[in-house]
Amino acid sequence: MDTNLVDLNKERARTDHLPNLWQKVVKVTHYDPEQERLAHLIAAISSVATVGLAAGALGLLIVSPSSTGYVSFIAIIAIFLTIYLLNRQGNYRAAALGLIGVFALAPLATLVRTENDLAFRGFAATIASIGVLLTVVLFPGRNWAPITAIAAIVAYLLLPILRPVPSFTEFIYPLIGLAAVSLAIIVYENLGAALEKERRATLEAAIAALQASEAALRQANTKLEQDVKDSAIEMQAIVDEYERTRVELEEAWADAERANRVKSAFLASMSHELRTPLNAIINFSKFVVRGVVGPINDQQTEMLTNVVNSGQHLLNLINDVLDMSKIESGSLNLFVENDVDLNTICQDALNTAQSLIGDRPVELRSDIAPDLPRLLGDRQRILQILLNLLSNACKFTQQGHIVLSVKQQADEILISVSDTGPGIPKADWDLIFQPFKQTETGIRQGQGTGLGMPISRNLVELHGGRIWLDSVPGEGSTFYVALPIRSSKLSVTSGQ
Amino acid sequence: MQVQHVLYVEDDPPSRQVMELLMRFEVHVPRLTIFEDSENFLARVKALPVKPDVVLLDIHVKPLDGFTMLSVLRENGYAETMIVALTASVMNDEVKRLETAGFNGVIAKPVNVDVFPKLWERIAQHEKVWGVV
Repeated sequence: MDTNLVDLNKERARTDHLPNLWQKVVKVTHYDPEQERLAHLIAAISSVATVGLAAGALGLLIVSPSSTGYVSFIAIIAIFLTIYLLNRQGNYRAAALGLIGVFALAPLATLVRTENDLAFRGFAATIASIGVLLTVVLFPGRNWAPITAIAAIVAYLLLPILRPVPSFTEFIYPLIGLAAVSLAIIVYENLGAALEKERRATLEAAIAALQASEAALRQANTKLEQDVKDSAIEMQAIVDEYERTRVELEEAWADAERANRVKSAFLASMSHELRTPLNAIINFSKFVVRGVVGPINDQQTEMLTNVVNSGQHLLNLINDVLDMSKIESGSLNLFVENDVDLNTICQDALNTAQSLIGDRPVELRSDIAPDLPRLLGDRQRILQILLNLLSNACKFTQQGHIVLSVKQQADEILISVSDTGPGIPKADWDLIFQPFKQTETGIRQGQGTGLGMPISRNLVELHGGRIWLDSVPGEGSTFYVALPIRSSKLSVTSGQ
Repeated sequence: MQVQHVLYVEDDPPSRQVMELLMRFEVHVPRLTIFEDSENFLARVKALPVKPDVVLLDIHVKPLDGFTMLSVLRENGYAETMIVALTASVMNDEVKRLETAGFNGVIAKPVNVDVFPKLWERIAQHEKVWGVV
């Protein structure tokens, strides 16, 4: 229902530009818009011809009722009417061919019966020419005009068979006219077609170029998308690699920390296990030497003193290894007190040093400034530093003297230990403060772990101080330690 | 102040003997009670006829370790008594743990016989002794 309404509206719209009556006459159905215009033309020509010829036939019948000419009129009217109806039914091709046939052939056919003079033949040739023209108009682009022209010319050439021609010249003029006009029409049509073809070729080339550039653009776009995809994949790979490395590093770090904890636990338990038997070895020997369990002879005293010293040495080694491991793991903490008295520390250290010299011809001197201020620091660790310096000097000095000197210098305490030992070549000065690296002399001496100086350096640095040395090989060495009186790095340990 | 009675908990026999010698010949403490383990610790402490002036505790003792014995003592009439740890574990963080737990000091093993009398004087004066030798 709705569809029909739409179709009706469409149909009305197509013929809206025509007058009412005329609309009804030329009404045609279902053509494409281009053909529709031609269909209107066929309808107009065929309807006008029908009406005109009917009027002519009626006039002829009135003027000369005896003439048989109107029979031809009626035949032609019938042909035009048929064409009109065919066209109206939408049979465009039949209508168009009919119309062309009527124009191209019918006038020639009438020559058989009508006047045989030049004017009539000329008129017929003209009408035939219109038929050729109609072929071009009604079938554009088909190039059927030559067929119509040849058909018309053949028909004209066949005319003398049915009816002799008055003279050759009278016969040839209309023929030349017909041929010339047909040729002109055909040439014009082909020229137009050629132009059209060229235009189309240009258009097609432009379209092809456009399509090519579109394809190129699409390709470029695809490539760009691929590139973006590729770089995204590459980026993801980098991110993945980074993440993998990070995880590996974290695992390695965790492993290292675990290993470090195991090492610390091992050292702690090791230290405990070694110290417990030393408690018995050292102290029983000492009690026996002191005679608390009865008198002993000199040889026994000497041997037991060696047991004590060896035990003490072993304990020192354990302490050094333990200290070094604490330093390496960064867990050596100072027990800081507010009023460390350097005088007592120096006396303790000198007493120990004197016992280490034994009966060698070495003079132990001290030059300790009066009124030394009290220090902020770790009493035991400062004593340990002094003992390390002095015992080193005692170890290496066979004769001469060892001097401990302590004085205040600005806001620092400067401690120095000089000896008349073999001295240290400059190349070894740095080596001395590195763990497990004894100098040639130290190795020959065959004592100690080589840890004393590295530990001392760390203890001095923990106090915010500096340690260095000066030495002339063959003459002796001097070790210096500068300790801040109140280091900003330190604060008093709580719980005292 | 003269220390009259010391309680010492120690599972290592040579260490016990060393302490006996120290008490008798170096610091002259008239009475030393030794527990060889911490079995029934509180009951045995309460059963002591004389209350000790100073308690020395080894840390690695069974079944109760030094830290547990310390808290048992602190909660049972020994809040003000000098209680000193005696241990061969003298890594810094362990000393820190002893301090935090409430010991009045630590004496390192092996005991330095030469230094011990000075340390003991300080303990007798109720001074804390944290200098590990």
